[in-house]
Amino acid sequence: MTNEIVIRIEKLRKTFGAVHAVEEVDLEVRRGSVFGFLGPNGAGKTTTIGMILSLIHPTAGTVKVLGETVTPSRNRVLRRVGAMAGAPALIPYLSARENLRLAARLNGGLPARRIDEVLEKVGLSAAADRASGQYSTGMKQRLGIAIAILHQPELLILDEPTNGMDPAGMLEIRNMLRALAEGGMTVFLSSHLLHEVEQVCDEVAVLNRGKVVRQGKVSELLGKEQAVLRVRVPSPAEAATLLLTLPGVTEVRPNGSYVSVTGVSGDAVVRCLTAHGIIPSEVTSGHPDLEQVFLQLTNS
Amino acid sequence: MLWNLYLNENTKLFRRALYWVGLAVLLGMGMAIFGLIFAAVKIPAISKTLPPEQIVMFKSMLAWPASFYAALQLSWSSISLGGMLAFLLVGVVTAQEYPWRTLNLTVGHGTPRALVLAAKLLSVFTALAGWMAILMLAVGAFTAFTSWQFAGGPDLGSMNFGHLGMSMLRELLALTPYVALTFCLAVATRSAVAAIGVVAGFSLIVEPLFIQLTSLIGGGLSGVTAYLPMMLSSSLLKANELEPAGMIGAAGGMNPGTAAAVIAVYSGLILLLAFQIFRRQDLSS
Repeated sequence: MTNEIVIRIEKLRKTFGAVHAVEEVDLEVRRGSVFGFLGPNGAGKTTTIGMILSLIHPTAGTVKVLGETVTPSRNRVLRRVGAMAGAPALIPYLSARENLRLAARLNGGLPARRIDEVLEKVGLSAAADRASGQYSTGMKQRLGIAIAILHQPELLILDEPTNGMDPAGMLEIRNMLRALAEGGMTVFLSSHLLHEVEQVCDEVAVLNRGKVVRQGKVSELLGKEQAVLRVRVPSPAEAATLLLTLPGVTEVRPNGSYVSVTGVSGDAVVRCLTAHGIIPSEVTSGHPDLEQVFLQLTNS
Repeated sequence: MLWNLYLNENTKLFRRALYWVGLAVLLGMGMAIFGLIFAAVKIPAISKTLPPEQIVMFKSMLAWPASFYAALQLSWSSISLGGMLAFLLVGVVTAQEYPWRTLNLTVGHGTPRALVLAAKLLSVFTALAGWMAILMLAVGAFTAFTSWQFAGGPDLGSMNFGHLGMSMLRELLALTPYVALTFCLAVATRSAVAAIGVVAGFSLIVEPLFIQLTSLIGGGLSGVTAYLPMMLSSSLLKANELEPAGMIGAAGGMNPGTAAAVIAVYSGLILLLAFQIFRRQDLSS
């Protein structure tokens, strides 16, 4: 990862009538990083990606990709970008190989062996000559990724690439993305799967209601958050109500047979609960995972 | 770049079952018409019931060169099966790429939007010209056989291939405003059904009805009808020697050159609108 910025978004805004899909988004993605783009449904992730790829006209703001401004009428630089924005764009009656041939022509023609290479890479060699419309969702995703990486782009933009894949397939794709990043490709990954992002990304941005609410390195994002106490109790709802009365407490969240508490010490929690006849069977302390940070940032 | 896009569009279009089903329907209809005419002339039980001038006309239609022009006239106007198949093909190949999101893939790969549409348009006209050429070859082969039956073989000396080629181009040009309108509506609505429905309704109902009404009313309005695409086509196709059949047969007072120019202007304006709409469109997922 270097300090060179490959995607720079400034004050990007998009409204569809009265709906503000994206509001004043600012974002920077550095070369060589695997960048996670997170947000709940309707946060504006796909619209933002649409504007990066010149598919959607921004209402205001600028998008620069690989140093060049991108608009729907000025998008030449995107030839150096590979993308799968949303569901894979496939011609269903053509085979994987034929879909890749179409993509190769968009790049001015690529050798047939490159098509074989990417088919091998995404694990579709055996099904390469079957009509892509007959593929499972996971296989279509693999083909979409193959099309995106076919011309060895400098920047790869993927929106929910592991949708519909089995766990082994997801792991394969995660490993592939890491390998691509190690080979110098920048990966911009939009995903709902927070543990996936946590495992594969160096940096993340969290989008909520059209705004970036946090951007930074994954390690920093997790480290900045206060330690969380996880307390196992027989009656979590009652315990949560009691713990909310503790001075300094910032958050109390019942979760199954546990209650997560932030802002207070373990001693204070145990004293409070035992004083009210609730005996905790387990108390652990740790930093929150990305899911907890995400839920906190998006008030989910 | 345009060439590669055009090759891609051709791959997508010619690999579609719709193209080959459309061709089969067109050929089937052509062969059925000429087969019935042949049967009417050849089978005494039928030919005896027909007036002699009808038999002469049928025999002429079964011989070169008239057979080619008859095939063009019967199968390729805006109110014919060929016209409807053309609207269907254009509407489907244009609109279906929106839900497939293949337009997003091409545009998101840094391809100028105008080139994307231009390649699709060129490919569509290639496909329509292909349909027409294959139909002409099939009719030519069939009527070469029927010529042997009635005149000892096709009259090659009477064939003017240059004129036939120009006639085919005129037929394509006559259909162009409708094709352009289908294309434009498919881009604007992103729906094949809407595009095909509106254009079929316009060519089959609105235009003929308007022509009928204005001919009844008379006066200044009847001058306006000369500028309807159907009447312009009628005027243009006078240069193909055979008058368009049916209710519009006698109409169309414009000379073919002027009609061609007006058709070109209409088509150009409609296509320009399609390009403008596509340029401003958000291709969201």
